[in-house]
Amino acid sequence: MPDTESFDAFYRASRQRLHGCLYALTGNAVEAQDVAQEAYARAWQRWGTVGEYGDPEAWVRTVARRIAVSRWRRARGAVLAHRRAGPSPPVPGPGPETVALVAALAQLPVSQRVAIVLHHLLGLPLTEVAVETGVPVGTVKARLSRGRRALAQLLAVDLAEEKSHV
Amino acid sequence: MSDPIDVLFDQMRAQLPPVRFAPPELIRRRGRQRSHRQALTVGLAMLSVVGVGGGLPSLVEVDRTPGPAEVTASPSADESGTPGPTVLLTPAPTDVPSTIMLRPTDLGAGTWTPLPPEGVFKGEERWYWADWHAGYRSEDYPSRSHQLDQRVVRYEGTQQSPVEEIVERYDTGWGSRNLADIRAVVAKSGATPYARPGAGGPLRHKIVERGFAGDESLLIEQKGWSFNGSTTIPQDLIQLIAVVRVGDLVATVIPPLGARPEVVNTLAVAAAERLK
Repeated sequence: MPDTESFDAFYRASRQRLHGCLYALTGNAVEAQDVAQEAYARAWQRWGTVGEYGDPEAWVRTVARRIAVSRWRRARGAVLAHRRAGPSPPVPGPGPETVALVAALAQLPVSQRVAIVLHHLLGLPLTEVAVETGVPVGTVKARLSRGRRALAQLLAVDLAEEKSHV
Repeated sequence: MSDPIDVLFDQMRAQLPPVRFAPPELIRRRGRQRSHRQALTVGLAMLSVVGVGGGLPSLVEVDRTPGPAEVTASPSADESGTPGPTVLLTPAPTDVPSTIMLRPTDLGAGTWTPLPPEGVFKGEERWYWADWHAGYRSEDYPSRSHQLDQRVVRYEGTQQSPVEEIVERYDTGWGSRNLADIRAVVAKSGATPYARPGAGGPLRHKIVERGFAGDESLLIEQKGWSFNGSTTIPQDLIQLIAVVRVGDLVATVIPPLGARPEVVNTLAVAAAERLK
């Protein structure tokens, strides 16, 4: 029997971070919530192994990213959500800066978006982003650089110090 | 000087709204259901490989939604785990087989194409009626813990929005209790328009017809409302939903948006026939 207490503690400690990451990647808070739940459910299925990993959160995050990408490819959610639940919710949400940032992220290629979210939102160093995405550090640097330039253009941000960042 | 991209993400971290997460018990339950579903899939594949599964239904299946909360070993399986022939003759009574789901030929004129079942459920629970009123708690609806299996199909028509059907199997005697739970949700939802956390605008539910199919049935009107900050105003967004019970099987049929009651009733009758 897997260790329920350690899983629950892990889930409580990491879920907000994972949700933030998925929200930035998908641009949809509800979708992010469901993807996160699915990823945690898969973690629980093999918690005896995953729980022993040095960084189980990285495992869950990777699974969640794959689920999200898989769903994008079959995406039809927006139309259905509207049909089922009416117009967008008039409930408090993130501020305009975050909405603009998420909208800009959505325009980036997935590889650049993932690199930027892992590095800038979660604060992972380049080497960890490389491990988590399965590409060399040089590729991560290139994706970050291109993604940052695209974001800066979309958000009208000045990146004068770009060369020194990555 | 701070990196401007980091500044944007700092703002984002500060602005992310609080999220109402599912309790860990529900996450673990979802994990167990995945395991059981996968075990069933593997079992069926094995039966197909050895040739005894040739007669399995070929109906297009778009999803295998959560399976039984607990699966016990079949007494007919031998020690090696190879299922004996009696597995086919006495299938576990806890599942929802694909043969009892609505098929394209049940849906009326036009071409109906199967779709993946994403987006059928919102929020924390895989029950269509979860979280449709303020203060919703799963434990207030006793049938929730007696759901054994669930399956979803979705079809897209050329002229219309999709048709969806969710079929759930409950423990013996708990199917009728599930309808009682649905009626209770609708009664509370009908009292005040309510927006699910993270979902669209406020909705209000009302039972508009009963007893038109199966052992028990409900036709439920789901009406959209708008909220301008102080008052809620009804809109023209109306979705009819049929719930049909046959024994301990409960089908929720979500017809195309704008479907007339008689069309929904026809679908409900077809769903009931499939459940029998």
